[in-house]
Amino acid sequence: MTQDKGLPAPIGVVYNTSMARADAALALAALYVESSRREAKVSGICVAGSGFDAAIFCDIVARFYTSSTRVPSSNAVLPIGFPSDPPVPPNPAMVETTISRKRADGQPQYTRTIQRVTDTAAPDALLRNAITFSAETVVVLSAPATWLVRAVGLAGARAQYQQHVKRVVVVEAGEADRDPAALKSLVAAIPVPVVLCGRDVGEALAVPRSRIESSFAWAPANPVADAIVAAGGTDVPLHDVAALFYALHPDSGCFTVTDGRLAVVPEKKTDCAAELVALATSKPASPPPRGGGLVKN
Amino acid sequence: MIVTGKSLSRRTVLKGIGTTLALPFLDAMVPAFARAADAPVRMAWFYVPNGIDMRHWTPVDEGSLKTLTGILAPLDPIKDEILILSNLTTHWGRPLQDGPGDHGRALGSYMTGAQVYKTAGADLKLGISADQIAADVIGKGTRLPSLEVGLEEARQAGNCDSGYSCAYTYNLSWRTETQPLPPISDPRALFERLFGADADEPAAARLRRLSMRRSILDEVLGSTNRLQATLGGSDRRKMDEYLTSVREIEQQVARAASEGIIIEPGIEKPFGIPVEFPDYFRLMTDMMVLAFKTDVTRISTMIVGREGSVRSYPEVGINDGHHPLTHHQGNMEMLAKVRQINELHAKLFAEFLVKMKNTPEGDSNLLDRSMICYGSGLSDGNGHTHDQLPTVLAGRGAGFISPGRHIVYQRETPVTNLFVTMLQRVGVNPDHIGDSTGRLPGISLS
Repeated sequence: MTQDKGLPAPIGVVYNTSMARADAALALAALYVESSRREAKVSGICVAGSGFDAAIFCDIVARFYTSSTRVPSSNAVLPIGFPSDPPVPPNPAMVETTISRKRADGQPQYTRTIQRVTDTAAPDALLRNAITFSAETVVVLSAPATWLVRAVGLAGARAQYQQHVKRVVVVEAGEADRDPAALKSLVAAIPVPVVLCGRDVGEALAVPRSRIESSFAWAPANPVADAIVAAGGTDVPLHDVAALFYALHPDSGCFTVTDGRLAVVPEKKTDCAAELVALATSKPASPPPRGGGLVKN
Repeated sequence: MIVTGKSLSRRTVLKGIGTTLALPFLDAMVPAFARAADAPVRMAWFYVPNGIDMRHWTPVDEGSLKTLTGILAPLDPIKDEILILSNLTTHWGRPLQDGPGDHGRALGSYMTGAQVYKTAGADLKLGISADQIAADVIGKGTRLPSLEVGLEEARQAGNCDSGYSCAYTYNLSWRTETQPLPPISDPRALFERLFGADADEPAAARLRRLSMRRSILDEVLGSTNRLQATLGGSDRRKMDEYLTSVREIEQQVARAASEGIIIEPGIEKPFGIPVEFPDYFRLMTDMMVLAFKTDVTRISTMIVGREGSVRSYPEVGINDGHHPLTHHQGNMEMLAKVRQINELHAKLFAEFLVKMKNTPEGDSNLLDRSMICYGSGLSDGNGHTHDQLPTVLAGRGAGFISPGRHIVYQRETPVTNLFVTMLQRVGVNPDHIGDSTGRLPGISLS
């Protein structure tokens, strides 16, 4: 693994998401922005609880934010995880709109490398393997806990989690409890601190959708911006963005943790919401995306 | 040896003074070995080094195999006997936190599914390889629990790849986390292990026999004659064929020695030495076939080349070393040579499979009753990638495998899932093998 000399290695992030809400798309964007700033390393993205198009959407966002039209080395970047076992859940409307967007010439607007289910990764293996890429990793769970608990249950995985994972943040709005037995098992089995990001956190940090849309003006065609529009609604609660931000920056001053439950510091609510939106809608630091519709400064 | 009646034990052997020669399956053994379901299933793993030019490997379509092209073209005549499995991974071959050394990790992690402890010293640590997990259970029923074969002399010490011990780059089989099983690369040593002498042969007798250039068949001649007198016509013919093949291999071994194909222990062969690699491959795999045929062992590994091998292949006009060629950086001339090497390996493997198929056993043949895995722990040798590995599973595992297909799995599926599936077929049920996550679906359609 190549690392810049003199700089600390960025913390790895594993994001297990249903990718069914606007804040999930924003969190994914925020993750790549953090990665471009060397504040994080994208160790693994795994969809659960949504259909195949959610995996394609995650792939599109990865290609957009990393400027890569080629599949990057599998030694450093893993494909998107996706549970292919039937029954496969329905596709979120938000991502369907985005991935079906066409350019004027009729070609897909956004580059993708996932065409078939076999272009995605086996979810349990991915969620186990991804944590080993970095010395320190955080996990954000915003999907049914089914696959994360399976990963932790694999032979040797618990020790790996103990060695590499600093914390796991579970997003209540992500319906981790859609598989209640799995969630219960996960909390019992996982050998690291688990923090719950309740619905109140994301709702306390909700921002008007129009404000988010306008913040994406730097890119005339951005898959995350498209998803925000498609998701609709007046306000966007920042559930996953808050969970990701806390996972990476537990000492940001935006949050407190009591009995394993995250809360927003009341007097910081406005500033923190602004900071999260700014992060999630920012242009990645470097390298600048090519061919994704960026407005050149 | 006492032979009474027409029913022979599966373990019947020909014995001379200190010499033991196992027998192939004969009709006279039918009562002890009647149904195909009871037939022993053999397993072998062939490891090819330095990855494969995957652009010329992976079939375009999933499902039933159409005409195989590119590197797999030599396997086309036998495509109904193989599965091509795509997208399997050896995660622990990746650099992760350990930096350079992909070749050391590739071979080490392939059959163990374990993280290779980075050391060039004696403090090796890996995992137990799939073949040895199987050997621990089913190997007790055969004279040799397992057979480790290689086509490069196995170095056991020193730094072979960026801080990884040579033990990791030369050994596929690991008995324990710290004990590799070096492959036999000397044809004579392999022959002697299989046919020439069991533990009972006195060293002096062995030396006398070797010095007199006597065949082991001469040693067991009396025993052979007595046995043949009890056999039916079909079995007599099988015995003749078997003894002929043993004699031919013995002669090849002797010829190889006299022609100077000498394995020099502990030294790197400089590339460019005109060793006839195809003959070497055929000789060693012929002995594997006989080992399976005689049920001396049911488990074997074959290292076609150690990971990072710099062997040249003048037989096909390639005088450059294999490993340097794989770092082609897109150079088309080097890529073409890599492909030629990949094709040569596939061709020789296909020949081995045909021999297995042409070796009758009961109402079937050896290949039908085997599971032979062919692959590498690297896919792209230039980029040192450890996923989307080249993998072929040949044979039918005595009715277990439904061959003739290309199956594409989701990425990150551990290659060790395949090994778990193979082991379960032979009655070994490991909780896991290294990083395995379960069985590999789709191998069997029944």
